[in-house]
Amino acid sequence: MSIEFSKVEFGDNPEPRCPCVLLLDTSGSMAGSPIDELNAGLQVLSQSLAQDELAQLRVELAIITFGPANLMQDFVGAGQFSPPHLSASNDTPMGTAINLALDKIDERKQVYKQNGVAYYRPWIFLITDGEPTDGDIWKSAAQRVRDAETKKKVAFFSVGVQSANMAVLSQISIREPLMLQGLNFRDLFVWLSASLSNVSHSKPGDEVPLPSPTSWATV
Amino acid sequence: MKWQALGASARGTSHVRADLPCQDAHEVRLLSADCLLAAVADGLGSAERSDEGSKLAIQAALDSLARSLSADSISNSDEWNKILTKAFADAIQKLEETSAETEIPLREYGTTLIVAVVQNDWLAVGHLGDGAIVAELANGEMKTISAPQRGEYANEVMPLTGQGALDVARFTTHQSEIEALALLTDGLQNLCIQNQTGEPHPQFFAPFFEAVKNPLDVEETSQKLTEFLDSERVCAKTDDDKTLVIIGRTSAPDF
Repeated sequence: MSIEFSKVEFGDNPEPRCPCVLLLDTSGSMAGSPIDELNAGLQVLSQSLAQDELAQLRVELAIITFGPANLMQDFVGAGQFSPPHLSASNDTPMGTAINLALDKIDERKQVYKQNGVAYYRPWIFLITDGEPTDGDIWKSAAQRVRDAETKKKVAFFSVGVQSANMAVLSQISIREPLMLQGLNFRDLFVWLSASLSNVSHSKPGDEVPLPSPTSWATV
Repeated sequence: MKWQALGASARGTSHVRADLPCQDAHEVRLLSADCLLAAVADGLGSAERSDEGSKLAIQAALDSLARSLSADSISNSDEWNKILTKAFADAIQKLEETSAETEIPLREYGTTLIVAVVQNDWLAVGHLGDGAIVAELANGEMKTISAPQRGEYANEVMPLTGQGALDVARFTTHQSEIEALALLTDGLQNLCIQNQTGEPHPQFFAPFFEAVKNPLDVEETSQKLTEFLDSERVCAKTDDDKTLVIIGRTSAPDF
């Protein structure tokens, strides 16, 4: 007698998920070419992720725009992600938007846990060309971000565009904020796609190397 | 009654692509007619010498257990926990010594470790990291004896070389008659353990458990097991290294 390998059946577990919240400044100052390039960049993100079969199954994207702070796109698998068209108006309630992003991530983790879905450390990716206009809310939001980063609850990245207040960004994010080269959103989103792919392919004990951001960021 | 064991480790397709060796390892030792040791280990993908780390950890842990079991007869859970803790401490020490000799950082030998001892109606388990042990009990029930140990995130795990590994390692003893047992590494986990409940997918294990309870050509069947782990069917579901050790109580007369 031998093992009847053909009778061995496999269970079907959900893929582990790799959630990322894009926290995008859509205030009035983004009007014109900045918002156009940002919209084009989101298309690039969607197309780049489509090149990677595993990332399609594992990466989940949500989009929060400000202002006003609004959940434009709730978490959706990269395979189903269809970039919304963003338009620019209003002020820059960055603090409120950051709080919303952190809340959405906590919620998403609960959903994963309830459904026995494994997950990677969530990312928040903030892009802004200005500074917070919602009073001191950003200060407590910044404290939440730093706490969450220290406890490895989230990985928080920030990118400044043109006249962004980099001093404020460096108070929010423990990781050093990066300055976008001109309006090179396309290369930024190529980089983001490659980075999320790396994370989504990683296995227990792996350190995830991120590609260098030199193609789009100034040092 | 006697124990029969099969085992295989196969390189994952992602390791083939990245030109990495198989970093999984396994070993089974029959100490006496009624005492069997088994271990599986999964060397960390990001650790350069983890293919050696997994083998060294298994050898050191099983050597340690063999010494402890020849010196004392174990009669309660506390004593089992003590010798299992010693086995894990010895495995860590072996990796530390190797790191000192080669002057390669300890973390490069990072590996998980799962050890099982079956003696009479005792099953004692030491477990650090992911991977699992599934058993078929005398009443026919199939259950997860030791579930994957995970951090919050899918790419997190505490290796033997990690700070405080001995405190994180889980030592458990079970007093029930075991008919068959499977030890597996993380590469197979998604195919055979239900994420949500941690319980086994019975249709995965049943054909293995059924076969191993009857006398087999162990060498030939282990080879076929390797081929199975390398098969397209399995590789379509997992690109990681994978290890499966199957142990059964055979009904055949003793030779």
